Amino acid sequence: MVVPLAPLVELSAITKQFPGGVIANEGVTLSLFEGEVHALVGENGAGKSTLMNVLFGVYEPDEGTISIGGRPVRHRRPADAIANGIGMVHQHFKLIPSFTVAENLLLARRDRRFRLEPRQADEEFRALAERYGFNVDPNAIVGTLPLAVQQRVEILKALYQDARIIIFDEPTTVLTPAEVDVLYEVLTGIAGERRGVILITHHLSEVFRFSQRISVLRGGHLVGSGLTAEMTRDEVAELIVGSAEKTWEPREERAATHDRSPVLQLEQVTISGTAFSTGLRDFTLEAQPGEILAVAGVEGNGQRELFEVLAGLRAPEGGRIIIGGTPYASLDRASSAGLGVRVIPEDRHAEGLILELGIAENLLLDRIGRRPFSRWGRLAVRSIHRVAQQLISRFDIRTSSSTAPAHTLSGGNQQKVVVARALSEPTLILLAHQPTRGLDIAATAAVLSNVVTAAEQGAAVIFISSSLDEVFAVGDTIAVLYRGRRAGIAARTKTTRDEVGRWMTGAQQVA
Amino acid sequence: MTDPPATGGGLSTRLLVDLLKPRRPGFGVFVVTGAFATSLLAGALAVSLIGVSPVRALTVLVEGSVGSKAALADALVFATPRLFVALGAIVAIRCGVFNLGGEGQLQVGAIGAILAGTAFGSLVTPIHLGLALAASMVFGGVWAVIAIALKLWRGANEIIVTLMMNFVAIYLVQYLVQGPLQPADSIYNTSERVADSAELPVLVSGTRLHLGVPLAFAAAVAVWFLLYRTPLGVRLRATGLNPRAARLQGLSVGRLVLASMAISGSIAGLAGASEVLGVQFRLIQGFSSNFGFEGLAIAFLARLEPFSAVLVAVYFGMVQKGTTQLESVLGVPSALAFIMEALPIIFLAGAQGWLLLRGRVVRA
Repeated sequence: MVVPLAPLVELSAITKQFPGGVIANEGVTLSLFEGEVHALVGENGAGKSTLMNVLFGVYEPDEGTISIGGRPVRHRRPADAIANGIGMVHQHFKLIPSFTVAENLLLARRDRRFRLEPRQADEEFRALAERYGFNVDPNAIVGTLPLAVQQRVEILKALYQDARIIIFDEPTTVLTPAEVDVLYEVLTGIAGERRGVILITHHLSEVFRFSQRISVLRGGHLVGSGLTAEMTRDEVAELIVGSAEKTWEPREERAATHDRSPVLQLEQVTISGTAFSTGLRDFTLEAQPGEILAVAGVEGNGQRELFEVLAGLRAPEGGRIIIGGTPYASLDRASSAGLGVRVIPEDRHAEGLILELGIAENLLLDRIGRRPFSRWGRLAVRSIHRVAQQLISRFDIRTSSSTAPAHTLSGGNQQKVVVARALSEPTLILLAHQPTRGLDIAATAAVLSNVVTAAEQGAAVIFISSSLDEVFAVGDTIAVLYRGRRAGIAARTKTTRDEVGRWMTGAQQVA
Repeated sequence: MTDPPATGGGLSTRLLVDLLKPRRPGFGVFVVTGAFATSLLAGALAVSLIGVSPVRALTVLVEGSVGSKAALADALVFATPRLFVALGAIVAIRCGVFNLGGEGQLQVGAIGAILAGTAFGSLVTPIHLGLALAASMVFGGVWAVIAIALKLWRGANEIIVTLMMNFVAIYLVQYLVQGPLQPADSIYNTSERVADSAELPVLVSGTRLHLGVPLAFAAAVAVWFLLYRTPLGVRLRATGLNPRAARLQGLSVGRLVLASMAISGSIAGLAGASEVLGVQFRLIQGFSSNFGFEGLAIAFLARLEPFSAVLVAVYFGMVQKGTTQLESVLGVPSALAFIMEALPIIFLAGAQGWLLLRGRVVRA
């Protein structure tokens, strides 16, 4: 392959900071060359998506410049980026499901002719589809197509817009292994036509099979970049997870508890996934009282379904759940809460809190109908605020008043409300799903220390996280989810970050 | 019973959902003042276009609606069924169920009131009246529950079902007064007159002010108490604001939705009772002059707050009464009432939609 002199795209010293002080990218420089598949890898939250959104015009960078073909450009909105020949195949497809394939392509037209010319569009579409060997019916309704085919429509859309640079965001999450191979053939073909491809992925095996260049982001910085042929898997895996700089002191090693029987067992649980998550396949797990079982893994590998099954939000399609020795084929949320399964959900705005309700109501929502919070069907306002005030000081929630709506709190304090609610009732099992997402260091430490306290008081804790730092800080046992299966499990003291990192990226499969 | 599927995500639904979210206090004052000011201005413009002095028209409008004891009583009587429907709608919508079926629940509630009011001959007033009111609540409640059951067990969209069931109810009344409920010797499409003991008694002699008026005000207090002072109310509101979070806290979202709809329908049923037991004394085809839809408008203009609904309903009652007066004194068509009631709604929807679009955020 001939490496051309000028890169197709050059991102120079891009810095992007979000309100609230989160620095998503700092001084990141990246070049994409013609004919190349350039893999962009890193943990969740490493800044990959932000960087690509900067390139695609969703965000404007605070500092740094973008040049395309040597010419500096400014992308204020995706339309600018598309006009400059950038296409993006999103992880969550941006198609109109009730439109046909052809109609979706018509929408993507860059010229703004008033009259639609369906026949011409149809011909153009057929020509394109034929060229890439895509067997897609232009008259099919997009929403009825399998995800792999919808993805092809997304790709065709980018090609139809004559994109020279195509960004693929986690394109294989929704595909079967056979479909993955086909996709990569297409991808290599596209790159070969004087175009360039940027590939965001967590799967190192795919990176090494199909990319020519690799860049690794960690904590918003570019920590490594080079030709794929000159790098090894272990090297890249280590760059991704970083050296073991610990932000939190790991928990002291617990005394062996093999005499205790598990309070929670999942036996061969299988549940279907969604477009964004793989579901679970024959997933087996057990947790003892006082144990923190950390479930590591890249997001989208079945964490969501694990949470939903354990919380009682969805019934598994196969297998069973045993809580306190009693097997359940399925469990609804109200019964699961009744058994003492407490939850700290992943998204505190969508699931954790009712932002418009007061802090006190949020703290006590699950028990508001019981004494002392209500009597004879009437709220006991004074008791509610007394108890709420106690929780506010016990969990150090910084607020002026227990009646203020939850949306007035900062993110960290909102999460403390969620944690306080979960842990102020008798807890048999605590289910924490990405409980520190988006929190600063102090709030993260507070949440983690509460999780540890819950375990010390005898709860079995299922701690789902994609951060290795956290997993190693609090987990007694570490299990790894990869494509819905348990890719590995080990006591924290018997494994290493490198090994867990390899399980997470599918670089190593262990029973 | 499965958990209810989410209501569709179109812009109109988002407009409705957005209403559930409280805004900074200034916004409400601005919109409501703006809405009613526009309404009055447009009314003035409309009358001046047909050659009547707006000042004179306004004087007649105000005097005609609050100028005398009898006029004020009429305005309040006009406000009553509209207020009941609005309160019913508030209970359901605050729980996230878009009950647009107030009209149907009112019609069916009226059937219940008439059946009880004509069935027993004469009884002691409190008992007979109580029975008739209770019947209207049960009928309205059951009618609403049918719609929500279709949602919970069959996944039907409640907006469509409640709306369609309005027409079923209207035609049911039409059938009843032309058939089973029509007295044998009658040529009119009405039911028998209710027994005296089932009438809502007139409270101030020389006016039409009946017991239904204070009952509607009491219902507003009751709805406020339900929403803000009972654990059921907290759960209903929590469900309306964020059903996923409510469910995750172990609330039975399906049961709450069912309860809110039953309460909502029974309050709307009282609207029918107040009209047939307090004003018409018979079931008459077309007895409701759009109370159901105006009640919804009141609920939205009041931003789903029960006490604000009282104020808006009284305004609507005054417009209704005042424009009748305008027609008889100055010959201004009473259709003006439609303009004056519709404009605040358009203004509110416009303001809300504008804010929704302006506040749109780009999500990565």
